[in-house]
Formats: sequence, C-alpha cells, structure tokens
Amino acid sequence: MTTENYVFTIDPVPMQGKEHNKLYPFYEALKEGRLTTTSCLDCAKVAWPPRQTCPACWSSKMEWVDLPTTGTIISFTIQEAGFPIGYSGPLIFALIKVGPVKFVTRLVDTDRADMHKGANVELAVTRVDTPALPTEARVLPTFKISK
Amino acid sequence: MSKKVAVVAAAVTKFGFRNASYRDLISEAGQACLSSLEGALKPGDIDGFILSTVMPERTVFQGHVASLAEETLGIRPDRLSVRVEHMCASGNVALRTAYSAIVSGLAEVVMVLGVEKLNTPVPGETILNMGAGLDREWESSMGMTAPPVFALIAQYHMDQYGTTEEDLARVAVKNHTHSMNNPNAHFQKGATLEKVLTSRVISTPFKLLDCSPVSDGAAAIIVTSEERAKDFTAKPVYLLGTGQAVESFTLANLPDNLSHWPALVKAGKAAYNMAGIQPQDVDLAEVHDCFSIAELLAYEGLGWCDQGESAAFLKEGRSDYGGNVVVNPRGGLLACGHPLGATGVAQIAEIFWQLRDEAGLRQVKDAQIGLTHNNSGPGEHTVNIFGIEN
Ligand SMILES: [Zn+2]
Repeated sequence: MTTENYVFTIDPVPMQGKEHNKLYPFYEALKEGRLTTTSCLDCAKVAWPPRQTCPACWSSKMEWVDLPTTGTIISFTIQEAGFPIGYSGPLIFALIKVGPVKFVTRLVDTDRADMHKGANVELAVTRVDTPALPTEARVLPTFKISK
Repeated sequence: MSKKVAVVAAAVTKFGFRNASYRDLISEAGQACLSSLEGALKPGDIDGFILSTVMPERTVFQGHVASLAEETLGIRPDRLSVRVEHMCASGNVALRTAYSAIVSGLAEVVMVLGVEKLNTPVPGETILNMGAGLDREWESSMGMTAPPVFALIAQYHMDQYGTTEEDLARVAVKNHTHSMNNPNAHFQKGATLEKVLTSRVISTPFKLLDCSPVSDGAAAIIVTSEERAKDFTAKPVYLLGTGQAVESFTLANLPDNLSHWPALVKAGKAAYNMAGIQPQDVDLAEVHDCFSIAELLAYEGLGWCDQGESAAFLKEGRSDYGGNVVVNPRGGLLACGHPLGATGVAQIAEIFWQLRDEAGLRQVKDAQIGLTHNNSGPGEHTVNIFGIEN
C-alpha cells in the first residue's frame, strides 16, 4: 500500500501504537493474549473501555488491570447481509459479560449451532492484515466459543 | 425576549436513492420551505441558520457545510450560523438549538435544514461510513454497525418478555402501510406480515423490512419567536416541551436490561413536564423506528405502556389510527428512509402539517398534541412536543 493509496482509503481500525495512542498498553497486552482495562487508584472503579479519566470520580490516577479472558454470552446476533466493505458473512456479534464489565465482540472460529445465551466464550485475538502507516501490527479483541 | 418558539414553515424532499448531490438536496428542501410562505418571508428576514447533518466529510468529502448551505440558498445570516451533528438525533437536537438561540434573543428567524447524502457508488462503503456513528475504536472496528447493535437489543427483549419476530414485523407492516399515503417516502408499496417475515435475514432476529433503508434526503423548517410567528402564518405550531438525555455511548455501557432505556424515560419526562402534559395526552408521534424494536421500546420509554407490553399495545391497534396515539403516520424511518441529519427535521415537518390539518390522506383526526423522538444510539434520546395552542 502506498502512502497516497492510504490517504484515499478508509481505515476502520484505530491507530494502536505508542506514537499514536496513549491507550497503547491495551494493545500491547492484547498481542500477548491478555485482555486489560483501566482501574481507578482512587475509587477502584474498573471501567470498560479503558480511559485516562475515571468515569466515577474523575481521577486521573489509573492503573492497568487484567480482565478474565473468558466470559459468557448475554445476547447475540448472526449478521447475514449488509456488511461494511472488507467483511463477508455471516458475522456473529455478541454482548458478553467479562468479569465486572460488559463487552461487545465478534465471535471467530465459531459454529453458529454452538451459539446460545449463557454460552462460555474465550478470547481469540484477531490480527489485522491491513497495516496502517507507518506499518504496525494491529489486533482486535475478538472471542470464540469455548469447547 | 420570547419564552416560546413556533414552527411557521416546513418542507421535505423525496427520500430514497436520489440522483442528486448533497448541494442539490439542500436546494430542494430550502427552496420548497422558503416558497411555502408565499412571499411572507424574504431571504433577508432569516437571521439564523442551523444545518443538521452527520457525515458529509466522509460521504461527499465536504466540511464547512452550514456556510455552503447558506450561500446555496442565498441566505446571509447575521445573528447565528451553526452546524449540528448528533448522529441520528441531529434534527431534533437542531430544533433545541434553535429554541435556545431564539429564547435567549440571539436570533429571531431561524431556518433549520437537515440533509444527508448517504448513498455512494459502493454500498459496502456506505455501510462502513455508517459505522463511524458507533465507537470506532472499541466497537465498530470489529465490523459492528447499527443493525447488529439493535438486533442484540431485540434479542434481549425477546428473551426477557417473550416478544416474537412477528411482533417486530407488525411495526414494519404498520409503518409501510402508512407510507403508502406519503409520496416523499423511500418506499410506498406497503407490506404484509408475510412479506416482512419472509424478507431476507439481515441480522437475527431482523429481516430486511425490520431495518430502515439507506436513503438520501433533506428537510427544512423555519422557527421563530411566538411574537413573530403570526407575521408569517395564521397557524403557527408551537414547541411546548423539549428533553434530551445521554446515558451511554457504547453498547457495552448500556444498563444490564438492554431493552430498558433510562435516557429515553428521562428525555420524555423532561419534555412532558415542560409541556405540562401527560403521556396519554399525545395524539400522534413520530418516533425513531430505525429498527422495528426501537419503536416498541419507544412506546415503553415514553410512557404509553408498561415495560414488556409494547408488542400487545401494537397488536391491539393502540399505536395506529383510531388508537391511543398514532405512531409514525408518515411511515417512520422504516418506510421513509433515514437520511440521518434530515430525519428529525422531516419528523417535525410531519407534526407541523398534522397539527395544521394539512396532512391529507395521512391526517390524524383532531390532532392537538404531537411528539417527535430520535435516538442516537440506545443510550441517548431527544424528545420534542408540539401543540397548536401556545
Ligand atoms: Zn475513580
């Protein structure tokens, strides 16, 4: 991909590297198979998504904490049509419970017959094959059904 | 300084896959709105202009759009010029902005114009663009767009209250039937229960006709103080109450009961209180049926029925002509289409015509109080209430 092409192309994946994003530790952990978020050092609120400002007390004193890499399905949908460009279906989306937070994810390597409310899921990180400029490996927090 | 504001003119373009540019749509709606006053309003009379629009930077690669619209229409506002973007709620938020400008004395005669050119030559691009209205970093970067978001909520309501796919489909049947009398609607062919239920699956439990289509379109209204309103028309339509609440942006931060929307309850209560009315006083409403489930949840959140009872409310005909409150007489987003920035303004235009007894075949008999509602995601809602008495 040339720089010029990149400028004319939509990039639906966020910049994840240290030079672009203060939340880069999330992505570095995700590349190691860990799911993390921020916890407030003043009031102990664990927030999802991670942030620099505590949504409960507005403290700026945050620490990174690990979330479990397993969860359970609260609600799910199987998308059969109407995909953003670059995607083909079916796509399985779910709202899942992961430790203290709710989390929206896409299920990969999953048979639709195994999808049901309450089913157990586990982190299955997706590596994005379209690099941003400057080239950086990017990852997304997708999940799969636990066997 | 005015305490109340009134809508004195309205116009809506044809919604749909339009062979027209962003600027063409602005011209169509603006010109029709200005000329509807038959000379009572001249270009120099408009001192404020608000453009309601969501993503022209992405869909037509054009920013700075309020000024573009003003020059396109020959309007040179000397008291207020602003663009409002609040995703799907932009139109009703723009009216609140006009209200605050007029009651503060900042401006007196304000045009609110809503426009969106959503269709691009590549349908997958259009859908990707729409994902910009979600949290890109944490949710839409995984391919998430609005249909699966509302599908997760629909599934939750079905699990919680026993709502069925047929119950959802009834919303589409009602609204597609209403739009048969609306020449500006994207679809005017009507729909049967069988047609909705056998349309192709988009995202379970939604079929194609449970989802609003991707449409281009524009709509415009003129808003002014109650003192000036009668200079322009003998039948102003007054904004009686307004409310807005944002509880959460991401789907992950919705309440545990995904199908109960506290922000809608808050926005509705604020608007009812300001108008001094009760939910049952509303004669007709334009609510945000971006997906079939969203209309059912609007009945519950706006206080027309209890939680979990919306499907029965619809099935008994209580949200249709002859019922308690006629919901989406123009055909809703499901049948009219949803050109984001234009939608709320078009809803307000419908209430304007209905309360003036000018809605033709769609007319709700003896309509006195009308309501408009947009969600801009399940966690954020805007409600406006209108009447013919000030
Ligand atoms: Zn805190």
